Amino acid sequence: MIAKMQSRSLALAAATIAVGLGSHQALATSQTGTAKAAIVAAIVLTENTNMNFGFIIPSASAGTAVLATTGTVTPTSVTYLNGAAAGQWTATGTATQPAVITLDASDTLTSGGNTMTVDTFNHDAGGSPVFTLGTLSFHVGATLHVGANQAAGSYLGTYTVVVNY
Amino acid sequence: MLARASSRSPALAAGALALVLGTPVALATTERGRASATIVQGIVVTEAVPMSFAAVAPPPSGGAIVLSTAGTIKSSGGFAFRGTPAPGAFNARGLPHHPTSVSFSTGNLVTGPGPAMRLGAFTNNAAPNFDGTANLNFAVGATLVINPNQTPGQYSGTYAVIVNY
Repeated sequence: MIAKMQSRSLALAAATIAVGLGSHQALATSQTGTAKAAIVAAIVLTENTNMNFGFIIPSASAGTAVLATTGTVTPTSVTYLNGAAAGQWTATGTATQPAVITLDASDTLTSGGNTMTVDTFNHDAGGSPVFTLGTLSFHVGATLHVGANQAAGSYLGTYTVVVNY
Repeated sequence: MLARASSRSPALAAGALALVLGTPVALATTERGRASATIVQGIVVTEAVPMSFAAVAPPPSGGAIVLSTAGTIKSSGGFAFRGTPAPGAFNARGLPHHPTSVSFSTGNLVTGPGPAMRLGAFTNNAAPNFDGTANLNFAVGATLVINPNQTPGQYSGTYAVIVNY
């Protein structure tokens, strides 16, 4: 009797845990659970090169400077001079693991009281990046929106890069 | 009963453990990268001193006279000069320390009572960069080609100075 009571008690405890996990198979007692655990190294993300749109001359109408991940700038209604560089990053993680790179939707560069918007962030790690040999290097490009007769100055800002397994 | 219940319990525990390790938030690595852009005002060029060859008495055969950036005139034989010639003097404002280049229009004519005279072969003494206060000051010399038996009188014309980054 004592033995049976104990066994029932344990069975109920197991059922309670199973319900907590969202399973509706709590009372099917003949199943063998499969447990998988992938132990992966914490990702370390390093910015090697700051994103820079370089020197840009505005015009009387608003325009854009599209900075490609290759570092080339395609200007529209502005004049691009030189000095641009794509952001360059290295992420280290567990070899062969897939990675997910997430970038901001929009950020702001400021110079004193003046601002410009940067959006359309993109990277060149491809659609299914992998920590090949434990590292993942990629560039980040974006689009700079330059206002009509945008005030001269050195504009600075930041953007967020998230790398996940 | 006891054995079965016990065996399930660790399996469920392992299942729960796997769930925890698979939670994405725990492994995401976020870094903020720097982004910058420099907005440059368009270059403004101002003529400080108009170019002047002063008074020239050419030989009947005409010929070319060369006004240097230092304001001296050189020619082949037979010419006489009166007055004080002046090289063109210009100020350009741009981006401090930024490399720049100066160029000139072509096909320029100096006109007056007689046939038009060609003005070309411009020279200048501009520095390769704007100075630290965003200025670029320079003198402009040129060559004026005087036609044979050029009609005496006042002649004038214009030329374009192009300063670029």
